[in-house]
Amino acid sequence: MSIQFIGVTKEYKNGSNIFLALNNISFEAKEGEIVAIVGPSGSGKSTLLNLLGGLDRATSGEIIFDGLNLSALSDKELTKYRRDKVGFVFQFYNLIPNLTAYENVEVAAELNKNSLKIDEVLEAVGLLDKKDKFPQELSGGEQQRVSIARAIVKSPKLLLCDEPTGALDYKTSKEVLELIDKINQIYKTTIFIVTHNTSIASMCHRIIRLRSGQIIEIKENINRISPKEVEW
Amino acid sequence: MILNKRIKRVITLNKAQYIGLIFLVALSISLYTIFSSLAFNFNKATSDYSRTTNIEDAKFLTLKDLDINYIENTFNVEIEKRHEVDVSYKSSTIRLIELTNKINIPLMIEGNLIKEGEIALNPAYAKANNIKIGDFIELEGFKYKVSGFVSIPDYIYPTKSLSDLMADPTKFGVAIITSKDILKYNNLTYFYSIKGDVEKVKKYIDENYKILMWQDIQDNLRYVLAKKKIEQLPQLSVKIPLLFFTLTFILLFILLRRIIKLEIKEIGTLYALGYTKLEIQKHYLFYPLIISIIGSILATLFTITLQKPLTNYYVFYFNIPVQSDVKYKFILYGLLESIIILSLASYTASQTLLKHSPTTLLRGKISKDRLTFLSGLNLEKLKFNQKFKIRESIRGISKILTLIFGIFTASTLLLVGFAAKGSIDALINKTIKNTLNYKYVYYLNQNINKNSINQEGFKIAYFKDKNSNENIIVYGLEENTKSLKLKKGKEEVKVDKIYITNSLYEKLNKKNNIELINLFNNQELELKIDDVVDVYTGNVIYMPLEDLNKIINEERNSINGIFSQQPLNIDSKLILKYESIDETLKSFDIALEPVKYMLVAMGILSFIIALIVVYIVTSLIIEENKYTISMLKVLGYYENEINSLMLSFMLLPSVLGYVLSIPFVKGFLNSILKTSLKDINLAIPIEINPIYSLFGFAIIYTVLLVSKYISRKRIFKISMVDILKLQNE
Ligand SMILES: Nc1ncnc2c1ncn2[C@@H]1O[C@H](COP(=O)(O)OP(=O)(O)O)[C@@H](O)[C@H]1O
Ligand SMILES: [Mg+2]
Repeated sequence: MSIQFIGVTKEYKNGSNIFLALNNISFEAKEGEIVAIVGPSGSGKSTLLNLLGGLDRATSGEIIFDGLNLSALSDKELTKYRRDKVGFVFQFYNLIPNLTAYENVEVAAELNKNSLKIDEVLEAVGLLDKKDKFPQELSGGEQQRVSIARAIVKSPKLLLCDEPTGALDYKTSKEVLELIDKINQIYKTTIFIVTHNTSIASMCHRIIRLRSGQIIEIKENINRISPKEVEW
Repeated sequence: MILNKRIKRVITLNKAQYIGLIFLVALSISLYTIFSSLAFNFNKATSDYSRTTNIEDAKFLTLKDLDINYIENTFNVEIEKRHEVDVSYKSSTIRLIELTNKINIPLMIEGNLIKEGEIALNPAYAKANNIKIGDFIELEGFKYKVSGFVSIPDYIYPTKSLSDLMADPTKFGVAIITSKDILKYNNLTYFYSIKGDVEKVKKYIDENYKILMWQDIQDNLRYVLAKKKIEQLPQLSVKIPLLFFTLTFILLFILLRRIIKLEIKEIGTLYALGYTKLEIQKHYLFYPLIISIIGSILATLFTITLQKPLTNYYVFYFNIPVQSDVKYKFILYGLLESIIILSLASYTASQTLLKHSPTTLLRGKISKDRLTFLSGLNLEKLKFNQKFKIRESIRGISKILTLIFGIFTASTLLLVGFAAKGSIDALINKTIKNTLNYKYVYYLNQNINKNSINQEGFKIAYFKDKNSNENIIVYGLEENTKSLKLKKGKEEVKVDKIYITNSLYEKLNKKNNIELINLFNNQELELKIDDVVDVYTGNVIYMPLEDLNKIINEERNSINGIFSQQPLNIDSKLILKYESIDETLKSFDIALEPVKYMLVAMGILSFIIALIVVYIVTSLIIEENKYTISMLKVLGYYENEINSLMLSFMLLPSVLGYVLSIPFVKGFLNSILKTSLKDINLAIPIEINPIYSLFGFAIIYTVLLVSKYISRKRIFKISMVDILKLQNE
């Protein structure tokens, strides 16, 4: 099984102007891979990720994942797809402020009968001792770990990370990247990481480079390095 | 100013909220205006009424014919002789009354004054019997054209006999015809009406002409009852809308503040761009202005459409001519009040925000999510969605208070209606169904011996209270009467002492000694009251038959009334009048018919208000929780799941708001009834029937369901991608 984008286009209409955020892109990636999406700001990285995560719909083209053609799903089916198969990690964590760390993970765990044990996941991201803290009592790195825990607790097949280290310092960033790598190894989760930091891409199996809504390079990364070795 | 171009956009963007506010303003102002105008017009009408009708000071009957001219000139009074005759029409009775031009001048409510061959009727009777202006009716051989509807001053409240509690317009009506027409009938009776300094002349008339009957106007319930009701009407009908007016404006204040506070980022941007605080605050004063002005325009339209039908309804009920002009000054007051209160809301809201720096405002929050002591609650044991609801409620305490208050306001209005209905039902049940255990009652025009019949007899005697001038009826009953069930609390009492009704007790405010004047012979006597029984209508005293006969010097076993389970075969010459309980109940039903329509109207109104409030509160909740909602959508929650997570905590505050309004309404109504209704011969027990309470809550619950349905659409519209982007900025 694989992930396929076939001639995917995403248009944004602004009055009479049409803006192509993604312009007829096609690619394929394997399950279990970590895929990096790199490119300058505004090149369409987040747009691509959001389409794959079922947050938005492509204007044309097909996106296939796990045997599903996302463009053919109804709104309700698309929600079910997110519910069952996708985990998200965002640059600004997007935790729910009035819930504790534990409860923020629980929000996602609720959705799936086969969810992992919340305590175990918090343990895995190294936050078990802070589980009763509210987001504003946690540092940026800690919040990002909570959001990763939230993303993986329902053991999704697909983990989508949009600039997961964008708001973090060097040391914390590396810890988060190690965590993502660990998840990939343990759960065999397919992971997409959006970043404009090319160094981060060197820990991924596949690198997709975007510019102005088009793919300018797809590369399989043969000399993959471990996140510990990533430097920038 | 470029700023003001925003106004239209902001309003169209949040149109439902603003439309809600505008409607609340419009409803509140129009209700206030309609009832204030009504009260104003009624006050004017009553003062005009006694002046233009020149109502009598007394009516009387003498043994010999009066020399009217001589008495008028000697004693400087006005006297007029007036004929009347009862005729039957279909299955009802019309009392034809001679048109007078000195005293008790009839006033036309609609149509033209009668000429020969014409008739004018009291409107309630005409309506009940389907008679219209221009119709022809035939009364015992003479045909009349209906020229209009009329109010006869000594018959404002047209009861057939003076002791009737309720008028039954299907059975009895009054009408005027010309002197020439009335003299064509046989069986005419007449009374003299007198106006002026009555006391001196009364003695002279009695000495020279022998008075057979004398009735001061204060003793004429057809006038007194109506007059009191009309005088109380303004108080009553202004107090309820005023309460509503006050509650809605408190509510509007709270709601507008919250809506303005949602504009935090916009205010931050303007502030950052270099607009001064003053400019920004001025800008935000436009919203209250727009809401108030459009609200008042709508209110004017509502008022214009509703004033006339409502006035007509009251006129129909009270039977005096009243203008239905709208008093626009009340709309103006409403507009001013609206501008002041809403501006204050908007000003204080923007003031609170502008205390912070533009950068703080641009973040979209003035304070970090504060952790209250409640956040530390240990919720581990609970299910997730319960935890979530509790967390939501802790965060949104002020929202919850808003909701409680909003539901409270709507329920108050609803329950005022229900309480009115429930209390009247209770009144009827308690007094008539639970007290009267007979089917027919016969009043006789002479005393008979109680042993000469095999039914239960009683003695009735008419008095008036020396201090208050109230008419009081005294019943002499058998000790073990089976026809009246007098109760004190749960227990039935025997007639072995002297009892007073609850309504009379509340009016006189004492239960010891009452000084009475016998209406037949002006004899004075003092009665020691022993106790009060639970009867809520009538100025009535119950006492043992022998004791009553003794104090009025009549034969020990004599009676002048009979209770019976079936119609009796008595010599009709003996019967003064007879009543059937079924018919009395029916006349209550008829009198209360309009109350039902009022209830429906109040129900609809409170439904709308509750809907507006709940809608605004839910849309605020959704607006304030956009990020959380979009996050939940990203995680894969369905709309109805999000809906129930976000909104189901509303149920409890709504219940609370509803429950709180129950004692409030009881207290409020009790206090107005205490002050304004005690003159009418009814002491109304304020009761809200549990079934009505449930029904009321069902209405509020429906509102919650409807608003949930609406908010689902709003949740659906929140775009996940846009919100994520917004937050990242
Ligand atoms: N809702 C939208 N309406 C209009 N244009 C949009 C919208 N969302 C994104 N864009 C545009 O699409 C382009 C790609 O956006 P995005 O995928 O967020 O870029 P990246 O994540 O690579 O920085 C940008 O130029 C952005 O301005
Ligand atoms: Mg991006």
